[in-house]
Amino acid sequence: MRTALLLPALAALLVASIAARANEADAYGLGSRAAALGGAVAADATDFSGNYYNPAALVGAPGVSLSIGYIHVENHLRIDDRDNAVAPAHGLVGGLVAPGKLFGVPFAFGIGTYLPDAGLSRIKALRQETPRWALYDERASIVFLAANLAVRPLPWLDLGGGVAFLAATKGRFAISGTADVLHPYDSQLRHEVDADLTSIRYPLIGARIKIGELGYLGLVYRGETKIKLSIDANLLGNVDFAGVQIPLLYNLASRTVDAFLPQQVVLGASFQKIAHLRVNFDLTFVNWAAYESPTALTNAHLALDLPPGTTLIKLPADPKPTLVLAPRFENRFVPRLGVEYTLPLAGAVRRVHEEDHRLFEIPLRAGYVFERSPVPPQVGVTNFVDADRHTLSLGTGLVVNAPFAEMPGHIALDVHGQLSVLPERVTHKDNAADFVGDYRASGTMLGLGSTLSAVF
Amino acid sequence: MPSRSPSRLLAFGLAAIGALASAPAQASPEDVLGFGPRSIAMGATGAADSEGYESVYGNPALLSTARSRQLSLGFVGAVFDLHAKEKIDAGPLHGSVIGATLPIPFGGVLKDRIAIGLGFFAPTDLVVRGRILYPEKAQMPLADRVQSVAVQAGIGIDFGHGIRAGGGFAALAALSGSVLVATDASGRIGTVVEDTLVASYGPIFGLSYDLGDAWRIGATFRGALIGRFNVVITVKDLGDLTVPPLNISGIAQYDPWQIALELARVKAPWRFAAGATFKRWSAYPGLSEATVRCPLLDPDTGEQLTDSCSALVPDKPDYSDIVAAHAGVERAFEPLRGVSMRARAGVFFEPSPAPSQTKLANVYDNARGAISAGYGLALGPPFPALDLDLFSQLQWLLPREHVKEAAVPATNAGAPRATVAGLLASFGMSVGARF
Repeated sequence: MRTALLLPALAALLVASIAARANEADAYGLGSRAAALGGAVAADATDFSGNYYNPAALVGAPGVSLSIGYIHVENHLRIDDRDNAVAPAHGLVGGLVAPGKLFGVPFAFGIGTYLPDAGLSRIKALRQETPRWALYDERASIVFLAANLAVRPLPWLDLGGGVAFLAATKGRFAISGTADVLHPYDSQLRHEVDADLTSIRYPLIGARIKIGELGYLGLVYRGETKIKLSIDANLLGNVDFAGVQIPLLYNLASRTVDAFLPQQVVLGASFQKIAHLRVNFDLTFVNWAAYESPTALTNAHLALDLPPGTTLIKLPADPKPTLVLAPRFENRFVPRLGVEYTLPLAGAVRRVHEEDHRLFEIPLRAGYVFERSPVPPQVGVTNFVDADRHTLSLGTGLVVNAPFAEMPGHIALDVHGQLSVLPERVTHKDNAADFVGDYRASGTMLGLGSTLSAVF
Repeated sequence: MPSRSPSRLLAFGLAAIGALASAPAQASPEDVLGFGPRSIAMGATGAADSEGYESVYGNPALLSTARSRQLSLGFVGAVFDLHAKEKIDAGPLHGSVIGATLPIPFGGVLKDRIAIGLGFFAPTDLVVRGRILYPEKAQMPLADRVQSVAVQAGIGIDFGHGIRAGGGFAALAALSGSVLVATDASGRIGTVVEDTLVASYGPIFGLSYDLGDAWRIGATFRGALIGRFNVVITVKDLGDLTVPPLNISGIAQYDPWQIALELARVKAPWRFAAGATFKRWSAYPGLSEATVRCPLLDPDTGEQLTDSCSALVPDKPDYSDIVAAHAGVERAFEPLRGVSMRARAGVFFEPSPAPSQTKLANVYDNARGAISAGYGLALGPPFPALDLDLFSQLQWLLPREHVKEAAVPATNAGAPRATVAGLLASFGMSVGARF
């Protein structure tokens, strides 16, 4: 009989495994330079980070570039002063940009990725009543992989686009045989699975316009993605209780929509009029209002042919249908500000990428982001926990220009630190008898990262 | 190419290969079909004669022959017609290909020495298929093995003196997770589910040596690539009765480690290649794993298990190592300046590693013979720098009869005997731009 109880759990696993929400690039930045600038690089991402921030900017790469780095973010998110053990985010970042000319038109191809080193995705399945940090719990535990193309049809116009990939899981499973409840390791059970890891693609499109000597404007669209899922399962077998074989049948059907990633539109500007200085500002519209609840709709039925007079085995009742409440998230605008000053440090002047540079240069970077919470007050049954987020970032590095004959371009080592503060937000429940009750939520996040790039 | 500071090149090359090889690795459609339109058209050869992004699978060392950046986009499709006593359902394969080669523009002694490559095949809506059916069902895993993403990257280095080496990896997705079933504070059954999608990797190493300007030998090692899923269900706090941990696990995708050796004539207009690939199928653990496993220690007490344990254990597949033979030919024509056309053909034969299905199981596999053909068009100045490649391949699954032992019930899907045969037809194309 207990075996039957496992089927909802298995269904929950398969449902849960599609619950991709957002990605590391969105939450913590892709690459040290972009992260240090608060992600305000929609008009200024000519390295591999352009694969997320603005594919059009890839065509502005000065040469072939290869990048690899690492990021680690510690989350200290609390409810009622208790740390909620929101998992840290850590993994490899990297990518490449290959510019050239195609039919005489400047052209570039790029790949960018974040590979969480705890797995490509990590998901927990929770009931809608369970308090969880909806935007951050497991948020950065999803692989990010994007491939883009970019062209420069006019000297002042860059256009680019591509797709990003996620992976989801769906399937069917069955357990059959005899479960021995007195000698469990004598159970004669076996299983069958027909599961697919499915691919999800969502679009990234960008444009970048050169505004004379002032700098660039950038416009980016990132598509929404979600999955409709159906799971069917069954158990057909016997329960062996002291030699009594009791036929058992269990059927389960689950339907859900998940893996929601909101569509976004970014307008960015990069002021580059002053030598060695870049001042960037991005404003992002995030369509959180389209967020759909990840709660699964499940129907299950258990049938057990009990002999008359049997009292030792109690059947669990069929679960009641879940009433999924609309999360009613709100759209938001996210402002981002970044400043970069490149300090010519030492060494002879060298001609690199058709510009004069000192052998050693040090970039100094700072950024700020404000993200208003899209989650409405959780006065009812649901407990999507969130708070406004202020993020301050700093970064620096070392650029070595044409250090030897084999390296005609430059090598750059960038590092960054990032501190996010989520001020306290108090939730008051309408129902004084609410199972969870009122609570306070707040937290901090601390991130560190580094990226090594070679640009030829 | 003249030699330049070989020791410095060697040090750099080994470091680069080591860096890549220590990272992740590979998938299955290329093991069944080959990888890339040129390679497939030439009988799935490539260890001594692969070109462009196809070298990430064929032989990463040959990436170093690339002299221009190239991006290729393509399509691959395949259909199956498989029969045992009844038709075996096998959905078609259709997916997209992205390939790129990127010579690293070093200067000095490293000029034109090093290139990286990427090869990516993605079924239209799948990352990987994990179908593990009860073994008595009539099935042919070959059809599912092609339903997988192939993600490959590599680096090739030209050391001079005709010596090239390369390394890379292929990656595959796998699933790992746990489910805890227990009573909550209210006495109701609750579950805690944790699920992790993980990457599985297999290394690829290659070496090649030019024998003059017309001939080349090549060797490629590909590590085993295993897509395993493993979800452990643990049940606790359900009164006096205990349920053992249940393992919903098995091997969804499997490529054995293999070594390909090949000799090729690489000088136009006639190019050809012939070789053999050893595949270590005897290490194959089989599709399914035991649902209930006998632990050494009792998970609850941590002491030696005293309860009896006679849980079901799946039969071992008893696969055997095999050697596959491949051969291909290519004829180049240059009717106009800047126009190169190539006609290609190839054959291969791959024995089946699977034993005859004489017991309850009906997990079929057949020896395969294949013929293939293809066409390539490469444009250069004064035309745009574009490449077009087409291929088609037909594989025969040679008829094989499986006779059941007398103890097998007559209701078994393969009883008393079943003859298994089939066809696999694949086709595809790619368009590449050099920039």
